Amino acid sequence: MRVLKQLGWVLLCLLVLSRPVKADTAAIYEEQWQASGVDELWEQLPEDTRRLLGSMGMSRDDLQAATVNPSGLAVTLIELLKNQIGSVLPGVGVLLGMLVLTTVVKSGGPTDGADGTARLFGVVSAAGIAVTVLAPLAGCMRAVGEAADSAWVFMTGFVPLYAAVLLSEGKTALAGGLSTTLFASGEAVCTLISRVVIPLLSVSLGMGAAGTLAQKSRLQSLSQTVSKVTVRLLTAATALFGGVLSLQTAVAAASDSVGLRAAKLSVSRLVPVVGGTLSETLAAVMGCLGVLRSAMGVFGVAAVAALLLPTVFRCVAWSAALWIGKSAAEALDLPAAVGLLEMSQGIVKAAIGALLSCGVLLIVGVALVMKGGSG
Amino acid sequence: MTTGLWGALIVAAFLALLLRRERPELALGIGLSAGVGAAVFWFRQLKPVVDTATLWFGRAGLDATVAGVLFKSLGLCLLAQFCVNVCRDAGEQGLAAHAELAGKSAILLTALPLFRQLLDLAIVLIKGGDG
Repeated sequence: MRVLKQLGWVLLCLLVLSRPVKADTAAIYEEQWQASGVDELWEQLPEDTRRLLGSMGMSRDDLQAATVNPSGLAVTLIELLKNQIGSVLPGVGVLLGMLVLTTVVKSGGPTDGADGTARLFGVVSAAGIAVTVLAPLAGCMRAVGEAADSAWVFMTGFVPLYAAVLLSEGKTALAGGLSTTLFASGEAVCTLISRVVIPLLSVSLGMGAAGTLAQKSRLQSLSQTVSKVTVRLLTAATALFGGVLSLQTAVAAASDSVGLRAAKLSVSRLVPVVGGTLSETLAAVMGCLGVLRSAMGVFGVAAVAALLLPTVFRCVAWSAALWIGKSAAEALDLPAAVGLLEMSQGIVKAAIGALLSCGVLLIVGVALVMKGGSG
Repeated sequence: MTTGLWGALIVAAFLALLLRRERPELALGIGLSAGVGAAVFWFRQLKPVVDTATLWFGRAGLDATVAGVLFKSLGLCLLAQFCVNVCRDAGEQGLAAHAELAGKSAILLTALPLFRQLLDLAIVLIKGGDG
């Protein structure tokens, strides 16, 4: 009887003192964030990229918030474009100066066809323009290759972490798909860009440079063909890998969604008494993991964009500079310079296309997984 | 100054025309002397233009080699053409061809650093190296 009384008191105390158990989502999220290793990934980013992300409103301390300040982003992009245009402007000045110099010299010199020396002088002036234009473009090509490499190096660190978060969420199919398809397609496209496309474009530029010395040769048209083929190859590769990635993500997301609902239902139905509470706790943990996945995704997309955008803007500024130069050369009636500048602009456009393909594939890949994971 | 040169050239041409039938060698001498004088005058006039252009391109960051090669090539080109014209006037087509060849060689030699720079650039781009 006494034992029953004591048991009754204990039950009463439990009823009075007990509160509904709620999962502390903030603590869970913090713990999951620390375990994810994203902070280390932030540290591995180049200093310039971190500064750029910082000006977009993303810093190491509030990385978990995963927000990008839209006005800050717009200001940053405009500032970045202005900086790149500012760095290219002296080159434009030199190019225009060179064109004017060539025109002045040509008009003051012997008329075309007067004798062989006049034709030779035309070759010398074209070589002068080529040296003025191609030296900075060679640096631009190197920067494109390095940007694609950096984006891929970042993804090699990011994809396993992201896949681990998906795996923790129980999205095994999506995690597997991400770590295989995105990894394979990203590596294929980035390697294609840095090992095949950029060397091919550089060779085209080199052939164009050599073509200025032999103006009757077809080297410049050959280099234009090479850049066109390169762009088509890259477009096809991006479309192929993008297609495979979206298909696989869609299928994996559907499969994971069914599996997760089944797990929640099983916990709720099969575990006696506390099954419902456990199911809710599981939902809270899953929710935190979902927020973590989204935050990581936003960080990944922003980091890839910040790694590629400066070089894209640099190429855009150079493309505009070459277009201005080409228009000036047309106005000044310098056909050799027009050919060279047109060829160079084609190559720079191809480099922009290459970088955008790389960025679009990586960003769309991460965005697809983010969207697929929320299903 | 320039009007004086034009006057001198007209007088020289008139004299050469008068003497061509009786003393063709003297007519050639007069033509040659007038031509050389005109060329010297023209080059002296051109010097401040070249100096200003070189200064301007230096300020714009243009490689001094490129501007230097261009101006030197222009000078050589004009000299060669002058020489070729004199030879043709004298009826010496063979000598004119030699003068042209010499002019081409001189321009090629002068532009050699520029061509080397361009080919180095092409090789660096084709090899994909850092230069």
